[in-house]
Amino acid sequence: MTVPELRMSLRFFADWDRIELVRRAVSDSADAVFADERFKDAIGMVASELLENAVKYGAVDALVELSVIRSLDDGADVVEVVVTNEVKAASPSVDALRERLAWLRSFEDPVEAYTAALLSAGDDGSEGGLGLVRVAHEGRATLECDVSHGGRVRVSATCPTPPWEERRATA
Amino acid sequence: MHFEDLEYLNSGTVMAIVQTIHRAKKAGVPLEISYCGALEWQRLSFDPMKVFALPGAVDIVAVARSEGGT
Repeated sequence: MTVPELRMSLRFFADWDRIELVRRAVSDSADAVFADERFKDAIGMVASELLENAVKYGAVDALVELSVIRSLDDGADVVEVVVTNEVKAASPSVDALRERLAWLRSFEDPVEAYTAALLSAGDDGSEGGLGLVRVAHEGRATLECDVSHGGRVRVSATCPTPPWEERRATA
Repeated sequence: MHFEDLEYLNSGTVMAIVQTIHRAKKAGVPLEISYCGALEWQRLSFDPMKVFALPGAVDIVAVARSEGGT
């Protein structure tokens, strides 16, 4: 069976300006494949938030890898967004990442986690892992992390694609 | 504050908005935040912020489109 394919792979020195370029590229590519405005916005946000975390918590001046791949394995139609980056040895951010994902899974509905994260935020503007919560809530994503590759953290967000019947008709 | 023409905001900006809500409440400054109810990403980001709403003091409202201002 031949179906539209989305397959992107980047390895780059991520900074804030480049992340915005990549967000737009991911969004536009998803739009080209799926022709769905909601999914376009969501998948760009997912890529951007994961890349921002890699920059904030990863090793300085290290390359960051991003892949965005549509998968139809096991009957599921999903787009998997994966960001891999280096972290400093014994970085506390790895434990914080695991704890945040465990906390996220404790909610039945990601909107409850998003609301709880907003309510628990201090008035000092501290973010406290809201990016991952948005990925789960707005991206409808299932999040996983793998820190077993010696000094490298791999965070994946598996996002269901929207129903075909809701996609825009293409000319 | 009008956000309805915005193409994207990151989580840091979401927290800045929450911070602004807290500060406006403390200062007793009325605040209205408007967003585009037709855009799903804006609905998903802003609807839950209504937990901070206090009629007349902090209003978070969905609008059809930009009415100008920033």
